[in-house]
Amino acid sequence: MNKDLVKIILVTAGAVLFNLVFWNEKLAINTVLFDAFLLSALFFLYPDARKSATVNWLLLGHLVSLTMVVIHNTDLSKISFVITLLLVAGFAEYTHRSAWFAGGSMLMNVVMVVASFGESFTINKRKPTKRKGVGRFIRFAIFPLILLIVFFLIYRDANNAFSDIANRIGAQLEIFFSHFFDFFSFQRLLFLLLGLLITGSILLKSKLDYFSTRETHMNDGLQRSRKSLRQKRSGAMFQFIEMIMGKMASGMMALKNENTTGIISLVLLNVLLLVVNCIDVNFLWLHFQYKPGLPVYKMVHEGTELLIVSIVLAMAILLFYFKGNLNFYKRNKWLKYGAYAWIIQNAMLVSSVFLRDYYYILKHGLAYKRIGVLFFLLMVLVGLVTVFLKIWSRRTNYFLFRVNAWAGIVILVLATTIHWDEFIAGYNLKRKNTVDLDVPFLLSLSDKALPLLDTNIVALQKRENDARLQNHDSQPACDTCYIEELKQRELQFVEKQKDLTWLSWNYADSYTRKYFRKKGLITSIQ
Amino acid sequence: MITSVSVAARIWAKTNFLAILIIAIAGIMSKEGGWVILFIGLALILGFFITSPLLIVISPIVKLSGALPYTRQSRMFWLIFFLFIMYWLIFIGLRLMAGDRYHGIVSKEEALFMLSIIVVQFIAVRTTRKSLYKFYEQVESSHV
Repeated sequence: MNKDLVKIILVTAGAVLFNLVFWNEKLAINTVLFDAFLLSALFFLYPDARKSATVNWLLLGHLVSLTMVVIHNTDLSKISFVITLLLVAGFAEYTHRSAWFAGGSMLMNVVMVVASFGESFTINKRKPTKRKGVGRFIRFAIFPLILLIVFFLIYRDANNAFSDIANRIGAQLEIFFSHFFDFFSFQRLLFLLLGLLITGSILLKSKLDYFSTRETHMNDGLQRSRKSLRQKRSGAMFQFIEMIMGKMASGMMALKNENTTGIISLVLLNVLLLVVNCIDVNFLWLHFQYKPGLPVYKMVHEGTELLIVSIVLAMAILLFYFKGNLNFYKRNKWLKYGAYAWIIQNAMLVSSVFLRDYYYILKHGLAYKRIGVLFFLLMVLVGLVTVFLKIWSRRTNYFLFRVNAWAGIVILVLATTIHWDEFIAGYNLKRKNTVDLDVPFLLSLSDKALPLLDTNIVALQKRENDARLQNHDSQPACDTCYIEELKQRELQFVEKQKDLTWLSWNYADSYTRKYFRKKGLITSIQ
Repeated sequence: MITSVSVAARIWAKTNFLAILIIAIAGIMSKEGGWVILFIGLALILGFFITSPLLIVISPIVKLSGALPYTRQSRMFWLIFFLFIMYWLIFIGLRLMAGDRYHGIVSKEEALFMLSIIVVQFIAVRTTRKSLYKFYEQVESSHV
């Protein structure tokens, strides 16, 4: 069969399947059906992709994410599912080594999807049919139609009998259309178009292979290049440096000057960071104590964001100095030592930020942002190691970003294997006597955490009420407000479940549903 | 010599005419009629006047479609789609400016509106295909 015809059939079938399994449903077991179709179609259209090790590894990550969509049904698992699916398609359709470039190619697929779909139609089109008569008819009809409308409106207002007849016809048309629209949903038609766009974006390879062509010129190993002053001046970065450094940036000694500036900068930055690290080692690592009366966030949490920014900025500074020929400069020994010291010191700073986060978790329990900081620090550590490797073995920024992207994907996929909401609730509730619990936050967690909250809610409410009494809180008494709130959440969950079919089945919802079926809703507490 | 601006102007003018035609049909369907003629007249004048800055956006989209390495018909489909996206973004922008929160296409009316934009764009571009294809031909020959 003609391959273009196969593409049309597959994309259309995918859109119909999308419409059938996802309409008014959530991403759950239905995702398995749609994904099985998409992957089969993808490997049918691009059979060579099955031989690629990268595609196979990505496929493994994608299947883990898919499993987690069915088991945990968290937003994170859904995001990971989408990202890994796009990457599988990107690596299957194009020649790539970097996830960034594969992502770019998939973006191109999305932008070009309509043209790619049209292309399959155009190639399949046989002899052009003569439709000149229809076009001519439309052109002839435009002005008479406009005149007809204008005079129809005038006569309708002028003549009551004519107006009555017109109104009756109008009413009949209205009834016909309302019945027609009841049967035929416009939203569903648009949803079908969305399915067509999504399936087409994944299955149809764009003719613009800009990103894969660009990547073929990229290397992991840095190569020394000689550039004329004119070539250098065409770059915005060089113009900026020249503006600050003047002739020192463009003369014979430019590389030496850059090396000297780099050494001075790194020495000063290292000294400054050493002071900060010494304070942190003394205050956080060795002699940390929660001070009574002083909120923990004042002690440890404030400034964490700035420290994270400083670490990222530090990596950017190193990338700036080791971007080009300074890597090959014979006397760059001290610059390299400065960079290594700077990396080690930043790794210490990462540990300090980790400790800050840890102390905060010990006092206030887990929360999204606190877990996010841990993952971010892990990524930063990977980043620092790769920056070290880049300088040590003269690697390109392409290598750096490529390796970090893969690390990011691995971390993302691994992170989906935990239901974080349930984990947070479990961790915090287990330590309810030692941790300052944020009950409204716990009540905002996803449905999977409801059973855990349900078993602890009476104790939580009592604890909150006792705390208010002890603190002589001026706020109005709220003896059962948390219980009421949880009751609302449970009712909302039950209501939501009523609208869903087996297509939205997932283990997380099933677990919660079973719990309430077995135990009964919280109304029994009253 | 045909330019992207002239093609864009044709598409834009046809879009406006079609939009007015839809208003007129809606007028016929409604029971009150006197104001409809006035409204059509106003829409005809104001519509062209208010939407004329859109040419600044439509013209580059037409130009960009000419640069795509696809067949003419595919480029035309691409153009229709991106004109739809442009009108959709304007619609969302206007709703947000009016203080309305946009939660996607929820109601039947919104879906109908979106589909009508697609149909109007399809007709407007399809009926301009002669000059559009001529423009594409020019772009192709300039590349050669």
